[in-house]
Amino acid sequence: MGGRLDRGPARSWGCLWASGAQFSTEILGERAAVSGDPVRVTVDSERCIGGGQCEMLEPEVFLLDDETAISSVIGSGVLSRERAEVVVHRCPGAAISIVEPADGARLDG
Amino acid sequence: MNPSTAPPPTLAPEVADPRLYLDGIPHERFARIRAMPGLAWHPYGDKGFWAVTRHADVRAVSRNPTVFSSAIGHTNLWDLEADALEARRSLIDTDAPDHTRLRRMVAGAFTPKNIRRWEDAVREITVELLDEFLAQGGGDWVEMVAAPLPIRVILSMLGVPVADAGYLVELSNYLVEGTSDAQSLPPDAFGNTTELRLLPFNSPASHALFEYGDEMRSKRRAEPRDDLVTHLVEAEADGGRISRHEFRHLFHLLVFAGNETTRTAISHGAMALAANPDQWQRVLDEGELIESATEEIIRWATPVLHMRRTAAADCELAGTAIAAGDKVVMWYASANRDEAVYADPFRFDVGRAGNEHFAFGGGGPHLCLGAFLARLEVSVLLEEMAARRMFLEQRSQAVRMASNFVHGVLSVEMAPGANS
Repeated sequence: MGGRLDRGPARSWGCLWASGAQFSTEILGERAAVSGDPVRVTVDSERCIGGGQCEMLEPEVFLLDDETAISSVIGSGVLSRERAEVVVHRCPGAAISIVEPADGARLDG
Repeated sequence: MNPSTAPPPTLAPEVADPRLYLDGIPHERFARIRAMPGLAWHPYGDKGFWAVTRHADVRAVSRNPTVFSSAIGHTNLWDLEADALEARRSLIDTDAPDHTRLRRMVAGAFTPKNIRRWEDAVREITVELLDEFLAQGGGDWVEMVAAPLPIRVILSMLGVPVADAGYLVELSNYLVEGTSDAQSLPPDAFGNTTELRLLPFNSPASHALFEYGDEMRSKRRAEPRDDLVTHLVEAEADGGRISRHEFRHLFHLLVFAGNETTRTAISHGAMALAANPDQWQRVLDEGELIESATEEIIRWATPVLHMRRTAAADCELAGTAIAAGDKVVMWYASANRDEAVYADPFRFDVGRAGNEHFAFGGGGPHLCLGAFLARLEVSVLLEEMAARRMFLEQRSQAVRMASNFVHGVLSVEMAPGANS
């Protein structure tokens, strides 16, 4: 809807980080190599209310469908435990959970 | 929990009297309530409420919607009779699964990616308003900038003629009166014949807004366009994914909440920048602070002061026993100044990090639908003010609304500052 031109780089809204911790994220194809203890996250599509917090915080891991307003995990769904906990904390629908252990999640050796 | 052995609750100082808010949020009283053990009880008419004032407790209420319901009683301080609650029910007054279904009807338009598509349109409106403000040498900031910017944007998204912005702002102003004791309209204003208790905000302006929405609905049914009204009309026609009632209330909510709240943020934001020129200088010196300055303005403004929930079951919060049916009021205005969460909460700090404010709700499923739109509007405004190196000087006391629900500013004179 509302065809307007896209402009410039995406606004990151990165200041909304609840945690001040430093992370290094490297994108390797679809897989994100992250520092710290990697975990896998999932979205419960029944609970998702399309609030967009996950995509705002972790655009490489979550994709909010602009038609259905339902979020899903893209790629491996792997990120550091600390970052995953922030997304879980900020999800308004309590729709995101951490899958433990992160089977096959250890990407950074 | 045996009521006969429970200790009597601590009584909160008065924070519900709308007249208190003519002088601003009674922060000192909220600070006293935050320091009280457990939850404080606040008398209110024939049925008081639990005053939830600490950040962590507001979050606990907001994120437990099965216990703290939006669909029972009312989401404002006073209870509604069952028929009035049904007649007035909007997205705000629903729980899952109705809430999830209704929200998804419109949430797609407000995702970060889709909101970003409106950036050029927001900028064009902002530039026009700021240039006019500068050309006039200032004036009433609310009338010249804070009110027209958000209403023009939400009307563009809805597909409503922007020429009607003035009329719809006027209706919004009347609706806000319904949250105070200052209703200025006669019951039959705008040709209204509905009992006021059945209308949102008890206001005949709700009748006028419903009528306006119905007219838009007819137009888009006859001639669909690429806009939000057409999207809702199609959802109603397509197997009744939303009802006629739901269409009317979604339209009402989008017009009202889409303009009144961001107007408040932009009004308080200007006052904060005028009062803290050192903070604005920081933004000018470090452009990357626009993002955190936007969040700080929204925290500072807290356009919606509270929302109420009603306990669906007996429960306990902060060590206080709550009975099923009790009113539980989340005071966002207090949580956003909670000294347990914010270092120096009464300082306006454009570089504040980890600003998990509750100006868009307390972290639960009723998160403000327009949060990304509000952020876009405020940040584009700051960018365009920064591009003009535009300082503000406040030339009059703000005229505030007598409301315990919205942190409204009716007018405030501003002029381009000496550094502009």
